[in-house]
Amino acid sequence: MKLLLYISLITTILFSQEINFKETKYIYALDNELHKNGTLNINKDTISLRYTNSDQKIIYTNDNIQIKTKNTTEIYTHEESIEYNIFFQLVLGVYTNNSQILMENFTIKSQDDMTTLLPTEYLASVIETIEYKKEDDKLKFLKINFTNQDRITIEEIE
Amino acid sequence: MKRLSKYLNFIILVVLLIIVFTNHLSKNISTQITSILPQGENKELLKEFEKLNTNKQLFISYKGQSKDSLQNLKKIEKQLLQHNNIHPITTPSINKEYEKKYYYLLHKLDDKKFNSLDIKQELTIIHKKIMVSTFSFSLDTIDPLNLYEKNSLPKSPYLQIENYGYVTILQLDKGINNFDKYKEIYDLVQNIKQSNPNIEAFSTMFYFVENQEKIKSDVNLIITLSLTVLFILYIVILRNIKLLIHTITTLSSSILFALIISIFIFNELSIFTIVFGISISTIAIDYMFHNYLHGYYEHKKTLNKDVFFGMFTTLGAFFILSFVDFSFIQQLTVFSICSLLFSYIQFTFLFPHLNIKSKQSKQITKNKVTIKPIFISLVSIVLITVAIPNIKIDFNIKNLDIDNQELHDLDDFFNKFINKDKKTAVLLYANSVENLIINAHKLQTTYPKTLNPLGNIPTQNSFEKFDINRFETLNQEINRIAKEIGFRDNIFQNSYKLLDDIPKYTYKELKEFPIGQYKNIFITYAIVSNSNYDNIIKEPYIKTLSFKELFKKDLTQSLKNLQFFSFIALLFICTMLFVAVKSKFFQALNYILFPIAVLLLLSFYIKLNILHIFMMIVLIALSIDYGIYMNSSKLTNSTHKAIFYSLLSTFAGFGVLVFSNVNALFSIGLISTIGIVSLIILLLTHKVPK
Repeated sequence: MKLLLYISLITTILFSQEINFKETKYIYALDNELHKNGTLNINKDTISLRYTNSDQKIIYTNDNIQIKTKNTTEIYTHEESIEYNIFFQLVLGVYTNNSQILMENFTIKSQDDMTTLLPTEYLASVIETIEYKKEDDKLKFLKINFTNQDRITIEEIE
Repeated sequence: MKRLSKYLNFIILVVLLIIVFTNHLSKNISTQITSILPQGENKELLKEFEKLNTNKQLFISYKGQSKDSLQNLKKIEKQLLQHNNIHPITTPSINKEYEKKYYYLLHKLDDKKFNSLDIKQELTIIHKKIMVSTFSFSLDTIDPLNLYEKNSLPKSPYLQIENYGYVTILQLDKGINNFDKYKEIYDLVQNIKQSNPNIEAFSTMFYFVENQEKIKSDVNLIITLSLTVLFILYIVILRNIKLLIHTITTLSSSILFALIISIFIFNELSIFTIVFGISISTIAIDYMFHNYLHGYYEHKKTLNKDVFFGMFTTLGAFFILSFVDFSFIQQLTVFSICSLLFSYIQFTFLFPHLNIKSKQSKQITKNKVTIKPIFISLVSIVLITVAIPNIKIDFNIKNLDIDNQELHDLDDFFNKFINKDKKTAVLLYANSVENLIINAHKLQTTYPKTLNPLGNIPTQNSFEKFDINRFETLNQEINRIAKEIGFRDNIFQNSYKLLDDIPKYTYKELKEFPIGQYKNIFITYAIVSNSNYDNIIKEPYIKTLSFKELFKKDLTQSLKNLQFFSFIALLFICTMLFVAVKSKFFQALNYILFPIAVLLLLSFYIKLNILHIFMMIVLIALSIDYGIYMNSSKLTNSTHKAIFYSLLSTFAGFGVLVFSNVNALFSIGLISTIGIVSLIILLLTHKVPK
C-alpha cells in the first residue's frame, strides 16, 4: 500500500508542470489589444487555468470541464464547452509534444522550428491557423488566428 | 456436313457468347428495382430521386461515456474517412454568399424581442462578453442583437447519447452503386468492428451486402440439390450423358439468344425479366423429352405434331400477352417467346442429327387408379370459384427479401437515437424551381415537423413581408450606439440591411440543395412523419416514393388492359386445345384448371405475391403442353414417361427452391412443387393405353 502511495506521489510530481504565461489578445471588433497574465497547471489527469486578478479557475479533466469561482462550480461535458475543450487539447498537445492529440482537430505542418496547425473541416469556420514555436521544450509563443480577425498570442514567462 | 451438324450446337453457343461479351450486353441489364416499372414520368422521377442521395449514410456508435470512448470513436472515424468514398456528413445549405445576402429572409425573426428591444443594453452585454471571453468571441455582425436563430460555433459532429456513449454519422459517396464498392466499405467497417467490441455500425447498404451473401450460400445449397436430382434423372434413369450435355447447351444458347433480341428491342432489361425468363426457357426441356422418348432422335424424324401444337399454343399465349401495356410483362413475354422458339427449333431440327441413341430407361409409372375427367373438371371449377374471392395480392416486393433480423435490430438501435419518430420520404415536384420552393413552403407551413431542405428558403412573399424602413432605422441606431460604447467604426454597417433585391433562384444557384430535374419537372424530397403520411400524400404536388405503391398504381392502371389480353390469351389457348385434341377438349383443359385450382387454395393461407403469380404463368405454360400430349391420338406410355421426366427436370429447376430460406426463392419453389404434385396426380389418374 505504501509503495503504491509513493509511486502515485512520484508520478504526480513527475507529470506536474506549472507554466506562467503572458497573453495578448487582439479583438478586431473593438480594435483593441488586451494583455493578461495567467498560470497553467498541467498534471497527469487534469489541466487548470487561472488568470491573475481573477477568482475564476477552469479545470479540464478526462471526464468534464469545471469552472470554479469562490462560491460556485459549473460542470460541463467536453461537448458542451467546446471552446475550452479545444483550447485545453491544444495546450496538452503542445506542452506534452503529443501530436496524436493535435491531429484530432488539426493538420500539422512543421518548417524549421515553427509548427503550423491547420484546423479540420468543422473548426475551420472559427480558427484560421495556429502557429507555435518551442525552444528547449519551452514555448516561445503560441498564436491563434481566428476567422473573425481576432488574434491570441501566448508567451511563456519565467 | 454431318460433322458440322454434330458440333453445330456448341458452335452456336460460342457465337452467341461472343456476341454477348463483345457488345458488353451485361451493361444493359438493370439491377434497379425501378426497371420493372413501366416507362413514364413516375419511373423517371423515381430515378432522379435516387440521384439525390438521401440515405447513403454510415452510422457508427461507440459504447462508453468516458473521454476515451469519444477519442476512440474519432480515431475510427479518421480511419474510415481515409476511404475515398466516405466523407464527413454535410447538411444541404444555401451557398455562403446567398446566406449572407438573404439572412433576414432565411431565418425566423423573434418579433417579441424586436418590439421590446433595448439596443444600448444589448450592445453593452456583447461588449462585456468580448472583454471577458477566454477564447475568441464570435461576434455576429449580421445579427448582433440575436433577433434571429443562429449558431455561434459549429456544433460537435458527435452525438453524446445518455447512458450509452457516442454516435457519429458519415456520408457515403453518391457515385457508389455497385456491389464491389459496397462490399469494400462493408469489409472495412467489419474489420474495424472485429477489433473493437464497443463499436456498432449500420448503413442501409449493409442489407445489400449481407443479403447477397446469404443468397449466395442459399443458392449453393439449391444448386447441389438440383444437380443431385438432375444426376438421378439423366445418369441413373435415362443413362444418357450426351443428351444431358446437348440439352444444357441448347438451353444456354436459347437464353443468350433471348437476351440479345430482348436488349435489341428494349435497350434496358430488368434483372427480374432475366430471372423469370430463364425459368420459363427451361420448360422447353419437355419438347426434347417428347421427341427423345418417342424415338424422333434415333430415327432422325423432325416434326412432332403434338410438340408443335404445344409450342405454338404457349408462344401464341405469350405473344397475345406481349400487348399488355406493362413493360415488365412485355419484356418477359418477348424473352420467353425468343428462348422457347430457339429451343424448339434446335430440339426439333438439330437434335435428330446429333446421333443420340435412345437408351432403355426404367418403367416408372403405372396408373392403377383412374378418375373420370368430368369429376376433376367439376372439383377444379368449384375450388377456383371458392378461392377467387379469397385472393389477396401482396404488392410489397420488399416482403420477398431476406428477413435479416440482425440488421433490422441495428437499424432500430440507431433510429432510436437519431429519429425518435418513424419517418418516410416523399417527393415534391413543380414546373419551376420557384414553384418547387413555394410547394416546399406550403408543406413546411402545414406540417412543421417535416424535414424539408427547401422549406425555409425565402420567396418573393417573404421578401415583401420584410419591413425595410424599420430595419434601416435599427441599423442607424446600432451604429450610433456602438460607436459610443467603444466598438470599431462601421463594424455594424451592414447589420439588418438587405444587400440585394428580390431573391431569384435558379437551378444553378441552388445546386447544393437536393434538387433533381426531369424534362420540365423539378423535384426535391421531404422526410415526413408516418403519422401524417396518408394526408401529405394527397397533396397535389406530392408523389409517393414507395416502390410498392408505384408498382401497385401502375399495375392497377394496366389492369383493364391486362384483363382484356389475358381473356384473349385464354380464348386462344382453348381454341388451340380444341384444334389439337378435339373431342378430348375438356380432358385437356383439366391440365390447366386442376393445377390452378390447387394453387389458388394457397390464398386461404397466404397473400399471393408477384412471384407466386408469375410462377403460376410458367406452370400454365407447361400444363398447356401436357394437356395436348396426354390427350393426343398418339398417346403412349412414352408420352407418360416424357411428361414425368419433364416434371422431374422442372422440380430440379424450380421445385428444389422450396428448401430456400430466401422468401423470393421459396415463393417460386412453393408454387412449382404444388403445381408439379398436382400435375403428377393428373398423370397418375389419366388412363393410358398400353
